[in-house]
Amino acid sequence: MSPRPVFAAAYLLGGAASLWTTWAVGTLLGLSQFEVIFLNRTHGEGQVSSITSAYTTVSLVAIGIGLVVVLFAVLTALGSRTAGAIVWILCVPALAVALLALIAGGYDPAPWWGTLTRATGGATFVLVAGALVLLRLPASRAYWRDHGAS
Amino acid sequence: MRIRPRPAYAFLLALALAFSLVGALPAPAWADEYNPPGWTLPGQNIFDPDAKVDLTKRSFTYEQLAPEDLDVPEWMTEEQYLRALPDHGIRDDHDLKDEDFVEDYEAYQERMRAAGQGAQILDAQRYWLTEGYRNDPDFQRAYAAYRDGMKAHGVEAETVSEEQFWKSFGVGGQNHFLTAWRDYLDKPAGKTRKSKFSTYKNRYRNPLNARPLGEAFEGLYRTDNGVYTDPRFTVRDGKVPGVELPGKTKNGRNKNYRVDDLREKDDTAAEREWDLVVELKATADVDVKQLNDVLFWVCLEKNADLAISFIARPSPEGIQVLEKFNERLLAARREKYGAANVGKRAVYASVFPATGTARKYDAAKARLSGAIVAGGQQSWDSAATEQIADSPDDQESYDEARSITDGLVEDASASPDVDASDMAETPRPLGGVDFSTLELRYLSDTFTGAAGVKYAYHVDPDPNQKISFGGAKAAKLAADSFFTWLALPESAFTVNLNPEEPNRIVDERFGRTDAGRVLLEADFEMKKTVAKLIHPDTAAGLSYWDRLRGEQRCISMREWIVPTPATVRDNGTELFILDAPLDVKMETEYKKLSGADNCPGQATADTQHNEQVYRSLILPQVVKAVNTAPEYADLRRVYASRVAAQWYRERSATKETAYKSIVGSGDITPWVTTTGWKPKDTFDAYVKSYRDGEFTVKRTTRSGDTIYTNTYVYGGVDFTATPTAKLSADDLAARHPGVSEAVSDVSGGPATDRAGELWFGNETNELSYEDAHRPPSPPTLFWVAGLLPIALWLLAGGLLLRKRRRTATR
Repeated sequence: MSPRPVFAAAYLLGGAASLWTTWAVGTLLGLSQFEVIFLNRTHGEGQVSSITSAYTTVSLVAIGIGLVVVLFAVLTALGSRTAGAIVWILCVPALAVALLALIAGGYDPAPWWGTLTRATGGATFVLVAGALVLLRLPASRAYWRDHGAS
Repeated sequence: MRIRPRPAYAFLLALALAFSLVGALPAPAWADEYNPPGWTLPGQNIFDPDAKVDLTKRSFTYEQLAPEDLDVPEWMTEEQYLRALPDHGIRDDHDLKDEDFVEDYEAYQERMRAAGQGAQILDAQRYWLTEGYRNDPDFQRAYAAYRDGMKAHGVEAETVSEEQFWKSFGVGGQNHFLTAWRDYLDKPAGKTRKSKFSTYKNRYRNPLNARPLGEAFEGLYRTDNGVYTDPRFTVRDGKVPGVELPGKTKNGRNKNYRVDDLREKDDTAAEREWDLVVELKATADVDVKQLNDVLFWVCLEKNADLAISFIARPSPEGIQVLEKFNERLLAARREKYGAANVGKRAVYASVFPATGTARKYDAAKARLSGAIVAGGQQSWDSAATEQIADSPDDQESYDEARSITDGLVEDASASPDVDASDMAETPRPLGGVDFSTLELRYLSDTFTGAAGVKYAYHVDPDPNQKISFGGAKAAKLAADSFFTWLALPESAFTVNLNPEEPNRIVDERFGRTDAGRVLLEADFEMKKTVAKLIHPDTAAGLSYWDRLRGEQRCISMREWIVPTPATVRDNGTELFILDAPLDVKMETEYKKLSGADNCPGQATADTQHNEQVYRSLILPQVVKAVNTAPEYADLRRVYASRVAAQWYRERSATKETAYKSIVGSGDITPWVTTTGWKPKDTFDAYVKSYRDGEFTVKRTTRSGDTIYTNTYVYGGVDFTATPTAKLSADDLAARHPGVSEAVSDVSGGPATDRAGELWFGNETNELSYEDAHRPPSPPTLFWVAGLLPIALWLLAGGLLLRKRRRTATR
């Protein structure tokens, strides 16, 4: 059984992944609204499909990254040092993106989506940062060391 | 520890204390000349020159009667049924001294007394309204006819009760409407009776619709300004106790009247107060009749001030009327109560800006006359469009609408249950503008939640027109022709009046529209204009004939009305049409002909000379007439719509516009002329005109013989092309300052640009205004699908923790 800090870190990363998925689902469901907002701005002109594909891509990437993070978080909890290292590689840019979403996220004409983006950014920043702190605790490091040794 | 007093601190502390005490004191009640003692008028004070301009508009909604609300089955409009209905005023204006009724009422009183219910005996009018009518033979005959009719038409199950049938004799009810229509039909046809049933229905409905608007505005005003909660407001929508108007109704009863509110004076107030009659107007109109016939007497009898608040600022003339009314009322009160017992003013007024939206009334269905709306589009609220739609065709139409309103108001005045004051304000025709100059000069392809269109009609101001007539007709022509130009191919937009070509007058579909009619009539008119100009009785005509050459003095007068480049500003999504001039071209020039063939037997040089004479002497005057004369106003109007439609057609070729489906559809069904006109009518009139001599010129030669020359002017109108000259944004701003700002918000009344020109605009959209402007909210599915991952995470966390605990305890 993994020590508490490692379990908690993995769980927090799972939480961040669920928030990214929530954001992605919200984005996909809001696509028709974004199209209308785009058309409002362009007086009905321009390629709506570009908006649709851009938001769809970002949403799918968010879900994909979420799944990957969950996978490696589980492997980390199971004692994989490699997974732990990959979690670090994933989490540092995730922190930056979360911070960016918190500060500049959102889309004024769709206030609910702006709130969702900022809330997701803020919450995932806390969760990911918390996970990284937990993973740096001596108990976590000892677990991998021992696990790797055994 | 010893505290040393510090003088500076002590001084500051004392100062702060003093200020706080002053602040806690009640504000001194300065006498305010422009507000009634003890109350500050809500909104922007009209008389106070220092009043702050508060144009923040409140919004409210209200229910209106839709056209279908007064729909009646056809059999009810038949003579036999209408004749079975009783007098129009049977319900509210019944003669209570009628012998039969008096007898019935006395019997009722006796019955009540015998039953020991003497205290509950109703007064005569109330008895008539609630019970007495059942014994009236006229009413019973009508109800029987109604039941029989319902049965005969297979709708017996929908028969309403006797009581409901009776109630519909009240103002606005179906029976009230039908008896009014019957009485209207009894008037002699012609000047006093011109309306068809549908027109009459609208005219009957319009004043009734002023009521809910007024009531909703009053509700908003009272809520916003604490009228409902202030115990000093003791009268609401009713008579002032103890105050009757002078005179009686024709049945000898006291006249009914209502005031909106009465605020009782406070005798203990520091400043002397008077009772205050509060009148609320959901229009900007000053109702002189109400002021003189009702409010004057109520305020005089009660020695009350009058506070009147309008939804929008009245005209300067209206404000003057209020000032004069103030002086009159003040003088009358001073005379009656003494100067010491009356304040400085008697009338106070303010603007309480608000916008009302009709909930039930569907503007898209009603298709306000002149609105550019078709298909699934709906008109958004626009006071300007309503003003156009309300514009009467002529004085007679206005008088008739006024007379219907007056009848309704009179009926309502006789009813104890209806407030007639708002009704009296319809019709409210606009004045000060010349609707004959109305042209579609601004068009914008919009997207607000869905595709739409914003447009504005340009209208010249004319301060001399007290009532501006013809707006609805002119705007309808502009709007219908816009859609006609969109629906039909450009090749169809030409007409040709040539006696030798009766089969080539006009495209078959185009010839069924008003745009086609206008072009043909203009073509005919042009021929008459030429005939007038070349007539030898005029100096110019004589000079013209004298300068012609050749034995026959032959000249080809085949000429066409064609467009010259319209000056436009096209910024991609908006089109401003600054001018759209027309030209008249000789056919030789127009079709690049030599002209020699038109006068066989005459020397080519003479023919060309004659044409040159015509071009220099006559043609400029024809061009001037086509561009300025009132008889060509419709032609100019439809041509401005043609320019706008061409821009819209080209825009629709590259993007999804609101009316893309109409472009090139060939379907002109909604815009077929309703005038009953046919192209052959104009052609026949043309042929008759020249046969009867309108185009026959009598000339006297030097030797004294008389020569009759038949002069035929052939040709037509060709709007297949719409050349334009485009302006830059700077040019637009320089040549027409303020025009962009004037059309930016078209929801209000007509907007004025800096040149003083008027713009009557509106916007249409697939969505209602509210839906189009509603901020996006999370889709419902989001709360389920979106929050599912978080729920799963929390659930997984719970399960994992439980599992860990179990593992740990083993």
